[in-house]
Amino acid sequence: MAIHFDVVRDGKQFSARPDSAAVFAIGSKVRYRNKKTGVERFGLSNDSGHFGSAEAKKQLYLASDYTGVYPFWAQFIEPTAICEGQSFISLNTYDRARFTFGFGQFAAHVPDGDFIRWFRDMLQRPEALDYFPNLEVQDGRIVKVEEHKSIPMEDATSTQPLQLYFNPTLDDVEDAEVVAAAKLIHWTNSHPEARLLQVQHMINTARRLTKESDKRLGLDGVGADLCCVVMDVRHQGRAGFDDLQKALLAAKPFEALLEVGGDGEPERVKNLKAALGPRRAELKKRKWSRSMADFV
Amino acid sequence: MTFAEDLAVVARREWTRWGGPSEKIDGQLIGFSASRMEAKHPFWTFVGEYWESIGSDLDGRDSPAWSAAFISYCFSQAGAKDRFPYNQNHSIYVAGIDSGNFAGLSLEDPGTTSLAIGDLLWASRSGDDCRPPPLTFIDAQKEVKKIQKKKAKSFCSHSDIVVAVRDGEVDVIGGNVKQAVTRTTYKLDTQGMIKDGRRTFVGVIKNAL
Repeated sequence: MAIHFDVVRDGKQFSARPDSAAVFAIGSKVRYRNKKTGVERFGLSNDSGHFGSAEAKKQLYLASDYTGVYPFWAQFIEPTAICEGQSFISLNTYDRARFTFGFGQFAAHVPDGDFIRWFRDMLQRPEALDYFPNLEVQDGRIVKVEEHKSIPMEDATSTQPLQLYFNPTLDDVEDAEVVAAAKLIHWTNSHPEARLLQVQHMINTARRLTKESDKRLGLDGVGADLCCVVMDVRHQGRAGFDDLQKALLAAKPFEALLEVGGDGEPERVKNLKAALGPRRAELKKRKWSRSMADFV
Repeated sequence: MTFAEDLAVVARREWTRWGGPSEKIDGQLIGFSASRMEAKHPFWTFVGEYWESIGSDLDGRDSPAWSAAFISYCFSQAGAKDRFPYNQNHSIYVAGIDSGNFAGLSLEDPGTTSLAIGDLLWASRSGDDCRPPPLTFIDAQKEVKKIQKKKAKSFCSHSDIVVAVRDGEVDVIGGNVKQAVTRTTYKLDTQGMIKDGRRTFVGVIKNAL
């Protein structure tokens, strides 16, 4: 039966109470100012430095928890996971994606993107009715089920209906936004398979990005340490293939790759360097194989 | 050939008859000729054959879930005769198997049981008119015992037939999966146990027939 979530607000801090159980933290209201347009937007965040970060840190993605399932890929995605906050319940709802969730920062605005693919699989899990009883996957697409009709929530060109379902406006924090966040956080905290599914989808994303990069950059035989940086750049979208190609051709490609996109994202690059430091030696042992579409 | 291998051959034959619809390990769908293949000719006639195998007069254009009828059809076609508790509900035939009256078939814990060709991979599911399904092997086993004692009704679930096992992956074929007979690839852990977040697996039917 569907779990009912009550919104609990204390100033800028938001929590939720599921049915009659204990209140749990969701996040705090944050303001985001677009540097280019100057437009201000408001939403929720539980990233470090905000209310809820302690809760988020209780659900960290650690490669060692998943190497029994993904012996190598669990390690390959860990540096990027660290850069993205590393929490299975990482949340932000203030930017153009309108809703971003998980340690891979799956963003809801991309048609057939990582959030959409992951959420489709979540909705097919048996406990989905506890959380989103009016959402279903029909013919491969998420729909909202109302009496006698199904309303499409996403298609190959747009996810706007689903974005609005999760987060009606960027002008304020609405109850619908808090409840949607509460549902995903509670679901992720309560069901280990939901966390496993997040790991699977992050690995699917990393594999897809590496395959795409191989087509453009020729990564066959290239070490996983270099591929890991390439994947991270593509995942965040901080630079294009031209910059990556130049770095790969440099005398010291690892160091050069780490600088790609660094002007706009210095903190990200710093975090990635720190995350790769103790992990590079292990990653270097494997190389990308185009024919296997895997690291060997 | 063993019975388990015969069962896998039948499942593969049916899958081929549907044109080979597949869900790959990354969720990619290939080989689906329509969004609801089960409603198209000749596929609904195949579903009618599955119903016929359990003595139903449904012709395949009907609404009931047909995945258990598919499993029953495959066991029948593979020559199980009276060695399988044919039923249109997975939890009912699993209860029959768990009763101990069907030698060579047993309900096992998916967390400790590695998969082999011809086994059934059993997962719980939700759906219209379904009561809350068990989400663990322990709870599924309890429910199955209650069904045996007629203290509980059936619950919604789904089974697929294991047709191939590789390092880290298993291929299964099942009916009424994305409205077709579909081959799905799931993840195995390094010990060969099922470990895939797309489903909640509550049992393995070991097949030693």
